[in-house]
Amino acid sequence: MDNGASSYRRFLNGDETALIELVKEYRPGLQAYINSIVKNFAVAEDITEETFVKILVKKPKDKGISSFKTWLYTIGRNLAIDWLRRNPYGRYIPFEKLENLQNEEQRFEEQYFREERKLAVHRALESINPDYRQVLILSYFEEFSVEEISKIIKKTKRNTSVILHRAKKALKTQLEKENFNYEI
Amino acid sequence: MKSDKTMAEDILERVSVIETKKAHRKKTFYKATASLGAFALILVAAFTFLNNTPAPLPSSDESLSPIETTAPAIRKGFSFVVANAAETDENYEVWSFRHESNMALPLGGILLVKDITGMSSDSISRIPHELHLRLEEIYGENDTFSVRGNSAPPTAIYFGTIGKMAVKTEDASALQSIEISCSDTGKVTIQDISSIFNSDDFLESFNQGKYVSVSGEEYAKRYDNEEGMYFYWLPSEETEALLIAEPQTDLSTITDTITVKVNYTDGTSEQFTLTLSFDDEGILTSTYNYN
Repeated sequence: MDNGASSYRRFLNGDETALIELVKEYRPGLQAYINSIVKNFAVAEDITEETFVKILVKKPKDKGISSFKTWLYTIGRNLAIDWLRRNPYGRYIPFEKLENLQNEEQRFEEQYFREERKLAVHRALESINPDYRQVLILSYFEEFSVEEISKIIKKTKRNTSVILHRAKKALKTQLEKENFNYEI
Repeated sequence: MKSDKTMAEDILERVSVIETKKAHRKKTFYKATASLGAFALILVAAFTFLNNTPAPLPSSDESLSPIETTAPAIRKGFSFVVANAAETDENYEVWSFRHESNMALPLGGILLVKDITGMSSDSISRIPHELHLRLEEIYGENDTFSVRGNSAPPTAIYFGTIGKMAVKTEDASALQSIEISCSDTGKVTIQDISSIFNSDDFLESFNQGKYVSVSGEEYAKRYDNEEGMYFYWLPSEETEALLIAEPQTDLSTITDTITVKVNYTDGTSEQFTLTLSFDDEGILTSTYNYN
């Protein structure tokens, strides 16, 4: 498995169907990860789209990033941070659209997290430190290695391991509070 | 929520628009370069003819692009980067102005001062969004926008900008410190990127005032090469108090000069300034200067 690199190359060589494959494969995880940073479902969708635009316009540069997927998430994270920086007040959403958006978010979560257990873990993540939330999504849901996570979040491997360890501990405590007995 | 297919189609459309603009820009650039080249040749020929002396040999500097000059470059690889307000097709096409001086409009913006007495909370919460729309009306759609300020009755004060300001280096080891100051009605804020995720309220991560500084050590710890250190401008507490007391204040009285001074470990330093002034409706005019 090449984590999307061959589809990406096919797109760069002119095969537009490869883009749909990339979006189908990587959009859900990327959007959930970005949503964990910006905490705004509509914005997460926009940033996900922007991330794909960016990788298609900027074309590959060897930045020492090991895989396409790691590169994609690194760019997504940078864009999400940039959005946070620009929008300390969040984005205005008209009241009448709010309910609709919440339903969409719920549907998306149910599709992405599928199993009830994963959904419970995801909801528990909402109440823990955002730094921990980020690494847990990357590790638990997206199955990135410590090394890959360290590249995405721009920290050393050692530092990432420490954060991941603490994050798991915090999640376990949170799950226990909610009477959910689940080993991660 | 968009379907995957719709998102893929939207992505393709956006990529195609960007590629077309890029191609157009390249064409314009080559045309301009060719015209300049032809003009230079005519001048050289005329000069040779008039003086009856051989034309000087072109120096290697003539291969530089129009945004590069032979002006003293920043020795330590530092740059004061400003995403230009007029640059709309690619949101991260950050311009490095390090070789230029007196560049007008590196930053576009609007200072909004509004009496919000009696307004509903929904209308008040819409103010930053409406300011963003107004910015787009004036400068066009641009992802480098930022809206900062607050709504505390009786007055809302916001500063919306198109463009962004940052200082960055690829060699933090040569850096002693960065000092940023305001001379007049404003204050500057710098943001600690690393603490965004460590703090529930990342507004806490700001360091702000009329004078802020970051040591080389702190810079290396908190900022990375790609992003650099972002900073923002807002009216100072004194100016804010004045505007709250008098929301009808003529905004053209608000002016400021932001000075960024970069000090190196070898004792040398470099300085950039950005002057800000507003018209009576709060529309910003800014000029960048490297000295």
